[in-house]
Amino acid sequence: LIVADLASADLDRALRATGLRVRTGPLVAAIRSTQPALHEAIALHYAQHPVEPDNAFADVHASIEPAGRRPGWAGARVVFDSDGERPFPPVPAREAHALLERGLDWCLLNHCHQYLFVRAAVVVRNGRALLLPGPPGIGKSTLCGGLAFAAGWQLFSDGVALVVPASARVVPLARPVCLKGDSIDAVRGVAPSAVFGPLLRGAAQDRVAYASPAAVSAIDGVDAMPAWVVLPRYEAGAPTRLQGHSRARSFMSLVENAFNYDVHGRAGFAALADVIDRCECHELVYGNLAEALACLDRLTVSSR
Amino acid sequence: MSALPSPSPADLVSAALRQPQQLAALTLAGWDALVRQARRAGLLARIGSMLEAQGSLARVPRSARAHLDAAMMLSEFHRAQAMRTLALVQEALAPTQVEPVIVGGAAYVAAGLLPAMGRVFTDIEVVVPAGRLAEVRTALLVRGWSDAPNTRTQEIAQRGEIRGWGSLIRDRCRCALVVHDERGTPAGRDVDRLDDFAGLAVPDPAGMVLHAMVKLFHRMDIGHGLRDLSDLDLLLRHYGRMPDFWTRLEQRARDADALGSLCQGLRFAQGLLGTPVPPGTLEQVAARDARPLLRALNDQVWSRALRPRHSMVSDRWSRPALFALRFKARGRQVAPALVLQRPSFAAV
Repeated sequence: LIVADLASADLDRALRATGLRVRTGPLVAAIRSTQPALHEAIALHYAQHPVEPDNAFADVHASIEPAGRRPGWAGARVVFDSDGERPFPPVPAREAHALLERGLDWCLLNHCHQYLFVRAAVVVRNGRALLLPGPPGIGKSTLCGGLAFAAGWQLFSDGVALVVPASARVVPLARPVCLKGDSIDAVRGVAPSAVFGPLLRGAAQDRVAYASPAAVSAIDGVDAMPAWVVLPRYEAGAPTRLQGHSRARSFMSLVENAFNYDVHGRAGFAALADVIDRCECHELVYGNLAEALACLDRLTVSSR
Repeated sequence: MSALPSPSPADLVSAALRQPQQLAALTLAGWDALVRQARRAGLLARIGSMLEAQGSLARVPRSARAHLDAAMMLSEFHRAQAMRTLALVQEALAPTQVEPVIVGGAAYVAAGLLPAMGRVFTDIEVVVPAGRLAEVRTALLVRGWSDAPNTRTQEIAQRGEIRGWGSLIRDRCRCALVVHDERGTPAGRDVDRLDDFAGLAVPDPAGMVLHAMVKLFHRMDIGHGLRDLSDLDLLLRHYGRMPDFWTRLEQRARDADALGSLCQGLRFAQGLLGTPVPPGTLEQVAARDARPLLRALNDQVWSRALRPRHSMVSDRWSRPALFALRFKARGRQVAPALVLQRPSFAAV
């Protein structure tokens, strides 16, 4: 049973009552909400995700509910709640989906230390994973969106790579791709068929839209071996430049972008060293998404 | 003596701590609820460690086991961080010849006691003689510690609950350090010196137990009440076998005027977690307190405060109960430091 199999009324009922248990990658998230905007977002973005029975174990319990009994002067606001914890301030109801994604990430990063988390986009082709690590705003989601929606790569994760410490393999998370500002247009430009949710924030500086992973996601949950680590950097107007990068620096980049590296201690060091040992390491500066995609395509085809 | 209200059947965490062997019969939905409650109570790693010690962790369903493993991994990380911080404190204070007393969660780790199992904490509490505060502060600042900006501990210090200054932090060190003065220089101190950390000490068994009890029942932040009660349970199970422990504990509580906390701590530990308390002990410590109505009300309030803070377990009285306790603790100037000083030093 997948989310798309549920009639709209059933989906609504499940979300309002006990919570819809959706499998995203290795985790089951029980999502509860009375917000119609969120119901639409789930029907769109999680359409192909398996639905687990009500009595299944859920790794994450998330709910998006009104922040108060009455809407305030700025309109209705909603709050994310996971077992009584509310890590974020309330947001306007139309941003419910963004809040849910943020909340699911929060639960993942705080509760699931069985994985080593690296701030990186991950896409996979022929069972070999391309890791794009980097801080927020560096251009990894844009590349990830382009690779998944226009270049035929399988989408593993957009913001957080899940590395299994024992095997140094990456696990797919299969969640929507979060694009901001100009990168929304950039991805639309190379992938006209990509399906986007509504723009979630009004101001031009702060536009956020989620691209549906339904068509390109690794829903099956099969893990992959990292084969390339590419450190991306978007520079407006810069010519596309892909060059080899020192393994030591690439390793440090993974460490700097890891969320729970210290929690894993020696095993974390060994796992990331393993990843680097198995990967070709590069640095990519790009100002044009289509060129960057072609460049990565050549790289990954030539090193096959 | 009046009986405690029976534990809430919805409270799976205290049931798991009381009878961990019963967890074998738990369904997957039961594990789902237990993991959620235990995480909220800060006891997920402890339940995992207890099952590991019993050799039954392998029988936990795989999906729930992953969460127990993750919590245990985080707890082990906290333990290692605490050990490292203690070594830094030891090194920084060695030239001053001050013998700091480690209290709270870090004391369990430093002394290798059972409550260190599955414990997570973010600060380390140290008590130093009152007259040496400035000297200790300088020594720590010289060795790279600095004032933590706007931490919760600092807020508490500003409200006057803790004597001393706010917590100190150090680069590349996850644990904050909270230094208390001990109010009044004691002629002698009842402490156990640590083999692994020369120059550092922890309170002696009775002091350790009383500190845990008073800390549990007298502070404003009772978010982890059940975890603190579980610490107490493990301490009592560990020390309870020592000869004279119970007599010394009672005597110390009497001297420190903390019989009320002792009585309450023992009753709840026994009632909720099945802590073995020798027959007659409770009657002896309870003799002075004979206000049945007040006690019944107090029991109702605390039985709610000592549940995991989860909607599955709360009832309509939970919120008022917590509010009442917070209100009661608000004006009180009892600080962990002060309290430690009472059981540890007053009896000398």
